[in-house]
Amino acid sequence: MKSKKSQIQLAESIGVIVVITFLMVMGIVVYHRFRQDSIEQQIREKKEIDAVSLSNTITSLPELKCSAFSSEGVSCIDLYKIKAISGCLEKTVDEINYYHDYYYDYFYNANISVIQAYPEEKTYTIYYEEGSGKNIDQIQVPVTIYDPISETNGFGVLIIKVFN
Amino acid sequence: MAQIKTRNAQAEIMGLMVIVVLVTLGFFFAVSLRSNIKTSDIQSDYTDKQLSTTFIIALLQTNIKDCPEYNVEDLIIDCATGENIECNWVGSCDMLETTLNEITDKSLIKWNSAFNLSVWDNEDNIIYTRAQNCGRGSTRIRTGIQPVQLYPVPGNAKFTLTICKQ
Repeated sequence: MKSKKSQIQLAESIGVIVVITFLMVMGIVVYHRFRQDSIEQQIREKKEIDAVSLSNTITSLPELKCSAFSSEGVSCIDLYKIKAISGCLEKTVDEINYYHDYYYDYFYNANISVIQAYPEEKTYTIYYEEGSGKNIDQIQVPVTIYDPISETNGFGVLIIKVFN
Repeated sequence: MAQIKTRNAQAEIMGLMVIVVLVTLGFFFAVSLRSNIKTSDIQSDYTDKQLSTTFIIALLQTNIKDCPEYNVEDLIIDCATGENIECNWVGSCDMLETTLNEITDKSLIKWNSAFNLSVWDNEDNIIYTRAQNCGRGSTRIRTGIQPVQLYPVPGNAKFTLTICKQ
């Protein structure tokens, strides 16, 4: 009789231990999931900040920036500097590699282009390096495109696609 | 003896209920915490801000194709103060409308953005307006306002771009 009672009590204790273990495992799994989400969120934020800072880097590059433009709050890109830099992509293979090697440190895996919307519609690709990334963060920055020969301003958009 | 057994059983059921209640509360807490996690919008915030503010500033400085001696700002000032400028026998208000329509066609409309671009004179009359998917049923995310001085005429014209979300 006593043996049966103690067996039942033992089974009860084992049951309680199993339930507590299950609850603890559940808790650990949920905590791990939250932590993983939080880390993924931080990585995502970091990449977004990188894309935003890349857009600021590009608009302030002397290779593209207008030499004489005093307006505040808007980025100005020189039309002939865009033509010159996008022309680099059409040169021989060695020079393309050299060009990429130099700008890769600034832009990494990205597609940077300027779309002139007015007065003429034209697209200029400044830099293209897809890498192996698939997710794309895209930033559009409206810019003034200055033609130093006619001394007129056009309207365009700088499009930055960052491959993660 | 039977009474003691019933009491023990009741106490065990109570304990079980407490555990069930705690587990349920924990589950609800976890679910609510998960749904409250703020998603990152740094990139879209930045893009919306850039669009609403930089777009109109860049637009104001854009020279007109058919009469490059004038820019959009000159046309707004002239249209709001009495139309003296003529560009290819077209008045400043009509030229402003043609130019802004062309630029928005090639940018905001082409990108399928939800927006409202408006120009107001110093008496708050609308000189120009164009919108796409930015009315009822959409949320206004950000508005960029750029005042345009009409000196020597008192007051300012206003150039606004509202970015919406459907």
